[in-house]
Amino acid sequence: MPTPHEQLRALIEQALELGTGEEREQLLAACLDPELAEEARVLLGLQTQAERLDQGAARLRELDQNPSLPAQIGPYRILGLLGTGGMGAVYHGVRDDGSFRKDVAIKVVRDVYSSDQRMRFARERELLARLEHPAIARILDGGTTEAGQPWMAIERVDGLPLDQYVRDRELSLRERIALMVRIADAVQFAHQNLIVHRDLKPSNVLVQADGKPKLLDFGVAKLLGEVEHTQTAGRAPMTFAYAAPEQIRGDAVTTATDVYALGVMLYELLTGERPHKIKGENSLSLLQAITDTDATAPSESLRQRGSDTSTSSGVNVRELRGDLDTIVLKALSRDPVRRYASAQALREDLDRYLTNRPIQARPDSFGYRARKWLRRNRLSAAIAVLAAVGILIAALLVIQERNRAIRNAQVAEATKRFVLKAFTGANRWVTGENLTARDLALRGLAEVETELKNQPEARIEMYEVLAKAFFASGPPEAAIQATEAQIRDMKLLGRYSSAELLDIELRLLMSYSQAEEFAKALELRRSIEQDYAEQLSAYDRMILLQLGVQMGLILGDFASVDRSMPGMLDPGALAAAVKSRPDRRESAEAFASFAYRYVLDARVRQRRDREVTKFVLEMAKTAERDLGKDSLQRANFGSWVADYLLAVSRDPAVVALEERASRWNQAQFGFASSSYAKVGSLLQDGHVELAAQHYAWLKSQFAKRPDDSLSTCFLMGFDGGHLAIRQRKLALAREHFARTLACGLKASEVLPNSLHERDARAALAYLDLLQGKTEATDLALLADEQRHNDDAAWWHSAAWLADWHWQQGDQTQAKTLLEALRSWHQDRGARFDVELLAQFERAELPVPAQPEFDVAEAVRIGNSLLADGERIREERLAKQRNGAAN
Amino acid sequence: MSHAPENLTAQLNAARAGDRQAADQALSQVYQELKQIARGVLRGNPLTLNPTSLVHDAFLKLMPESDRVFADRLHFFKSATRAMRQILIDQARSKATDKRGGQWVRDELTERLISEDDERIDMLAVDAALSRLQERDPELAEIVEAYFFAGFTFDEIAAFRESSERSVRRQWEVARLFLLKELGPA
Repeated sequence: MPTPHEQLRALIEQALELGTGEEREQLLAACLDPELAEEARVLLGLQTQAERLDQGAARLRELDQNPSLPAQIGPYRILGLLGTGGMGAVYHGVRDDGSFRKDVAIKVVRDVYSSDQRMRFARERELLARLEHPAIARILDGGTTEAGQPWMAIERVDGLPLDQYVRDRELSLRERIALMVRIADAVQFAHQNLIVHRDLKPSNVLVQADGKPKLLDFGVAKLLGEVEHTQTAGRAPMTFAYAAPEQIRGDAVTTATDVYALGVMLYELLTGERPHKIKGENSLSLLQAITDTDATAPSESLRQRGSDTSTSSGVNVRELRGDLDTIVLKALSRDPVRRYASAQALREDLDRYLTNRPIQARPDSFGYRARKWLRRNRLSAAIAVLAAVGILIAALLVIQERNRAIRNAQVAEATKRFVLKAFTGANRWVTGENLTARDLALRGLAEVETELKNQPEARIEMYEVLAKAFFASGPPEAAIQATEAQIRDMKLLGRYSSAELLDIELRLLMSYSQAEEFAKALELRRSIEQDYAEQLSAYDRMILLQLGVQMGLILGDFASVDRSMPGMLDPGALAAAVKSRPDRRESAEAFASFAYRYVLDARVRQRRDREVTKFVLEMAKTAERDLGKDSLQRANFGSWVADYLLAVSRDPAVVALEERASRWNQAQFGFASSSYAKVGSLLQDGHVELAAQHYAWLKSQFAKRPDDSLSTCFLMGFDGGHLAIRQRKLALAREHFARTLACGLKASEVLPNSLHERDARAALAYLDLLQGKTEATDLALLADEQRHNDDAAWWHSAAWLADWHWQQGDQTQAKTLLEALRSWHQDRGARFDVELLAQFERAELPVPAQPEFDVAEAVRIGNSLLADGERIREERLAKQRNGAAN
Repeated sequence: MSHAPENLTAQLNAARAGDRQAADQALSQVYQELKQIARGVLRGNPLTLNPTSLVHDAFLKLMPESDRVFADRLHFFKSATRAMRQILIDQARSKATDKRGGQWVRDELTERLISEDDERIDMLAVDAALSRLQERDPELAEIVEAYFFAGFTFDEIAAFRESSERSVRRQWEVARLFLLKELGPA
């Protein structure tokens, strides 16, 4: 059932179809609903007022077709539009001071919102102002319009485009070459002023009535030309006809690029055709021809056309064969290095040809060179060569500088085009898939290599962007791939400073560590320390140190933690780190606090409870002192204080602190990630049920964030296994330890016979023993190895063995083990497990007292840090709410 | 001269702070650029929202979060035309305020549309009328947005909607009547 509106709309549509006459009236009269018909009549009656809306609508379309002319730009009155490009317009302007009238062409960039464009335009203008040459159209004036658009006024040249001029005037071969000499002169002058034209073509060379050429569109051509590239690429292949191979590939543009374009123009003037002729409108095949094939010699091109004389140039094959072929082909070499070194060199060869002297470009033949050489004055030739070399070197240095700027603009352009292509892939319209930014980035990564094959700089820039994105949001494997590729390309290109490289290598190191590619990470860390010994800042050193410790912790290499500890806590090094990177002050300030965290991670797992208590207090004090008053990091450290304390104490104040920390983590991260010591601590105190609950909760949290990292494997595996043993679920325990062993073996690939492997093997040996699969000696041997390595898990093995011997009636063995356990615990101030204490009782040995630690001060600071975090969080939330309300 | 806008968010903030000229210029450019992009898309070019351009910022600002990934080109087209309408209306509003304040800002787009005093179309009134039509008939409203506010031709709109020029023109004629009724007597 259509709604009343739908009925009304349908009726009106019908009525409009029928025109205004009788038929419409019949339709309305036939309508069964008189109210509907009346409504339709009222609406249709409004048709007479249609103008009211149509005028407005029409104006917008008019605006599209005729952008209004500005009345005035700077001191120039605007008379008309000379042309438009994608990025701006060229107007005909005139300056009229009563007695004196000057016509100019004014180029205006519309794209004022890109600061990059503005800067480039301003720079061009500045450079062009230097180009005072009779054969170059002069820039007269420049400024910025009221709308903020940069503009420049250029001398208006009255003349014909080069190709048309030579055709109309039917210039002879020598006249044509003489014209090219003048043009090459102008280009050389620009090169000496560090300006590469990049868009030389006959339409950019106007020849005036007196036969003198003038070059147009210097610099601006580049600005507008780039848009031509992207916007008309598909429709105007001629735009590319003068482009050099490196330009098409997007490689560095140098003065040699202009030499190439001069070569194309020369070719055209001599033969009436361009060097690469492609039938039809296929610009792609033209581009391919330019980049992949050598030009046919001009004489050969004429011959192939089956005529000895070009109909359009009047030049014949004989005139071209020899020197002219050689000159043209040298200018058109695909490899920029093999072209004339400068426009000047090309010009000189043309001049030599005109004055019947030997040209330089002759393919090497010693006899030829020597003959011509000896005819000339030895000394003056030598001086000329020396002078030329000197000028060349000087010019090269400056040109290199200049090219760098051009290159950057080009790199940016290529990068941009690539991003657009990869990220807005046309097939999206086809398949209609909704891609996330991450999908796009992954797709982009896959395409960088092929799409930017010949643009190493653009590729590097792209990898950088992608690597940063992946580094921040994962997957780490993609970050690694992008960063590795970036470093490889940077090294290949060999243009980057070691400081630039170091930054990227450090990021790769962090990515390796994130992805738990420990072998690669450790190797890279070593090579960074070696290769960049001089460049490493105090900040970098601290990062390297801490990264090493992080990896050591995951691998169970506590010795490395101990080795790095003095360095990580050295006040001088910490202060230097803050000082060396003022831009990263916040993270530098947290170095010390983090150092304590790493040490504590190790000490908790080593069961050195007394040291845990000591370091917790130091960490708490350091965090309170060093972390910014407004840093949310404070609360994180508050929660870590709780975690570490809980590992050594179940004091009610500690338990309460831990609960507060848990609430914090939940609120801030939606995930209580840290309290890993809790399961073990609960088990020790005999709270098996509570431990099981907490373990189940942890597991559910991990299920939300799938994570197959080694650290998670060890955390969940050992806790799960020990819990299962306490619950006498031996099959489940075996499952846990088997998985842990697999992870341990992975760790052992990096660090042979890793702690985790030893621990898992011992636990599995105990399970085997319980199930009668092995003798106690197996576990005893593994326990000895643990003892030898000072592994904390030895106490598990020893306690299991003691219990086993007791059960087997070997009370002496059991008691010996229990006494060893007593001193082991008392040495490190470790809490006794309740079941272990029960063994002492059963053996009628003196039951050891639990260690007593004063945790009051640490608990106080922990609470205060958490309170800070809670306050900061509230303030920020309130600010956000207010922001949203406004 | 005025400063050239760097990003639209800043511009819009500047506008709120009273710098209308800056915002007007920025918005005019966004408007034109959006139209160019839409036309490019029609010709088969990929959607090129250069992340450093104003248009990009404009989209972030003007589009609801959920609309930022375009399912297809029609979806983009609708979003673009909605943004363009928003821009015109923002400018008309600022123009109205400026007039009361005695200021007059020259701007190509608004100048042509809004300032020809004798036969000035009240953009704000049309906008309000369109909002009411939108509730009843989103399809017609989309046509109005694209034709009246975004200045696309019937051909272009038809190409995006994959319908015929004739049917788009007819829909505009129908929509026009509803709008006129909402607008009331001239």
